[in-house]
Amino acid sequence: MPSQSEAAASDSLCIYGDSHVASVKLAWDQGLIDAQGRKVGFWGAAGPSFRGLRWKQGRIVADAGAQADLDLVRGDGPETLGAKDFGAYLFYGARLRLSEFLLELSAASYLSQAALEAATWEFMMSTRTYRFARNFAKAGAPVWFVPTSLPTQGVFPPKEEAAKVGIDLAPQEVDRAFAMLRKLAAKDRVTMVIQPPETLTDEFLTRREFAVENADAARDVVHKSPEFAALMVAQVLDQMKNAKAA
Amino acid sequence: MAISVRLQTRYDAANNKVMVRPVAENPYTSLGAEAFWRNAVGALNPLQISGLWAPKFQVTKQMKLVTAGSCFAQHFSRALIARGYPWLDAEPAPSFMSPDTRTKFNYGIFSFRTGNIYTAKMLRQWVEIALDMRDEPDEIWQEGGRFFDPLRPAIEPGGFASEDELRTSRAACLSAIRSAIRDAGVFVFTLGLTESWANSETGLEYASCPGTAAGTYDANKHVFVNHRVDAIQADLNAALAAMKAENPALKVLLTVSPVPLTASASGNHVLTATTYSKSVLRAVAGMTADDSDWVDYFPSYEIITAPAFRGMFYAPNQRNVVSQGVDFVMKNFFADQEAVFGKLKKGKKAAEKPVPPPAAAQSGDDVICEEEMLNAFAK
Repeated sequence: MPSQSEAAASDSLCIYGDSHVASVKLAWDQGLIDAQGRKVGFWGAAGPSFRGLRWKQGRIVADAGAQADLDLVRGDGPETLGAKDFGAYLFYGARLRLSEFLLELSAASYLSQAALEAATWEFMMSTRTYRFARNFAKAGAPVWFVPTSLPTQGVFPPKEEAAKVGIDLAPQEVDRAFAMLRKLAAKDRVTMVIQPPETLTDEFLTRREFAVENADAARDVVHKSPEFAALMVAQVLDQMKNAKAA
Repeated sequence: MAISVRLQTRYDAANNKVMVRPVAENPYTSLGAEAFWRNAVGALNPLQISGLWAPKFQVTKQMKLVTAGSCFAQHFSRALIARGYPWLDAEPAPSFMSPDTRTKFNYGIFSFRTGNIYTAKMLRQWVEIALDMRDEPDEIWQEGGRFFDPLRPAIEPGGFASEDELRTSRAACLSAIRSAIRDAGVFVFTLGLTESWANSETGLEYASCPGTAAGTYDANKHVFVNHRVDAIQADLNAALAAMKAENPALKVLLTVSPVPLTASASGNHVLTATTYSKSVLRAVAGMTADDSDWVDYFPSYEIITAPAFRGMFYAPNQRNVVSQGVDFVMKNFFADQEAVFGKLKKGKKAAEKPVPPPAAAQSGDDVICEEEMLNAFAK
């Protein structure tokens, strides 16, 4: 028989992440997310403090230097995070960067399916947060992962953008790479939710309409709007609902 | 009339006298010490032997270096990278692929993923297919539902998943060969073997005997070939000429692998077969270099194998070359370059890596974020 707190936790969702989680929080505050009755909590830290979140004896804990930034995000949530603290987990952004993944693949030569699988696995496992997610899934928690979205269209001057953010891959190669991310995550019982094609330009940039507020002034090609976050979280919540129904 | 007389002095220890005798001028009197065994080899500790190579051209850090050929070429590329030379990886793996996985899938071993190119004929085949001078072979080996490329049967561990994947991967390799030939400043090719196996019907030369790394041996279809000097010379000349036509500025550095044969199908003892094979390759490399001012021969083979070095650079199996041997070879390479051309001027290295994404795109979530979080969470 689960305890009262465990029963309460079973219908809760923890959204874990770095600065990208801010757009989810804004979307939540603006009522853009229908959590379908779930209790939603946030956990994580921005900037360098995110790297101060570590795995220790089966839980995610903050270094002393990251504590204040964590406290800002978690509010009255748990001080350390374990697989049983919430009913489900969504790792959002959290340094698993699609742009790095695709840029490196576009600079590399053709990879057979076996080589792509080996390389993708190493890319995922080199990201600490993915290892956290995998550990939580291994402990039985339902886990979703939304990787950091692709850079925003038109935030940098076109020339600079083309030279430095350009992903020179055929659409079928991008599909193949995304499919591999999903397949390998699924083996770990982590559901990978990648930004849908309608959010992307032909050059594999996130469409301009999803730019974070003041993106041009801040030259912020990385962060996205609350609307984008709401769109991504809605996909996760739908999948959670379907999984529960099944 | 003036007569030139050169005097030679010699100490006679038995009689405690210095003997002086005239020596008439002849072609040997004007030669340097390196031309005489006693001074250049016999009187020296092996590790003091130097000046084995008088390079024809300077290898600079502005030249893109391409390496291909037999196993020993791998040592060459590693040593060049370690010394900051711009070794051209024309068929790179993504940077997040680990060194072990790269090795497993044969990335970064040579400048392109051909695997070992042991013979001059194989080099010619690769170059001519890459430059569209001959058609790709139709032959593909199938085994247990996997597909193997007879041109490089060991390139993909366990073989390719499909014929389509094999052909796509080979196309990428051919494209890499083309770009390596076009971009190369110096193409380093290490000749490895004279012995090979071929398809008797199509003439296609294989990278290895069918039935060893992959494939099935068929005595009616697969023939053993021990290439002779004239054939190797013709294949090497054809390959180099095709490359030079594609890249007129190209320089070529030939070496011969000092690694003995693993096995010989010639019917001879593997030791005598090795001597025959290496002697033939050494002769061809020397003749090719003699015939051209853009082709040079670097004597890594001699540095490892010559009796003066007493086999000290071989591992106990008398086949593998130990790291000290590779280091000594490369020390000689750079010392001989410096002796002829002087120290390399410090300059910008040729860019090899693609331009990285901007700091903001790469780690913007590290630097453009505090404000985001405060805006979202601080109430």
